[in-house]
Amino acid sequence: MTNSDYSMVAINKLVEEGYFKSKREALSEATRLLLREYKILKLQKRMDKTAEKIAKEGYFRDKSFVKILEEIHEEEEEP
Amino acid sequence: MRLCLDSSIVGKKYDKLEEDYQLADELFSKVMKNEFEEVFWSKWLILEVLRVCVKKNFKKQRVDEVRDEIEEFLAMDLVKEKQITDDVVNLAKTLIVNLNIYAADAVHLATAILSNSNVLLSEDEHLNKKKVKDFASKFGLEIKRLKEFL
Repeated sequence: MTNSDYSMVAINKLVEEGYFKSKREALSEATRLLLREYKILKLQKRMDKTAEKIAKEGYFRDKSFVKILEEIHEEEEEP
Repeated sequence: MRLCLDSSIVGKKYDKLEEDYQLADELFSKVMKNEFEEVFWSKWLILEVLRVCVKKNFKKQRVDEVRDEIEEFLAMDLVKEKQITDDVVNLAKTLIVNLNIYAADAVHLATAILSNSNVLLSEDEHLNKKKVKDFASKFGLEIKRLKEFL
């Protein structure tokens, strides 16, 4: 059996066990979950790339993000 | 586990020069894999993160990238953004009076308490003071730094 055959057997079983009303519904949910996984993966890569660019441009070379955040809290309470 | 994050944690994810950057990276990977029951942050968070970006003169494109990524995080329901309701403000007032903490820190702490979080992750030194941690523990909330959590 191929991987695809195994997947179809598993999907049929999920339908038989009542998790989904039909194979179509099971496949639709599987596709939705797969696309979500890819979107999360893409977001993770984008965030890594942005962090990389921020590091290269040196915005936090002298002071860390956390230090600047603490300074902002202090400044915003100054009269 | 119900987890609340403050701005310092999200900021660490964008600050690769920070010593604990890898820990922030690891935390975000876990959030993206849905390893926690629920993750929250306050609506105030994005304003603080953007304020830091602008204060450090980020180029506009970079500010837009950070904003878009945080908003996509929410759109994908990886984190629930908590509104700054009257309840949050009222509890924050009590926290300011009792603990002498900054308004922004009080909003994050009130958000963590009212969302019934088990842990508030923060790298802010004021939120990590003993008296603040002791007070939070009365609500079943632990305040931890990344290195204490992961």
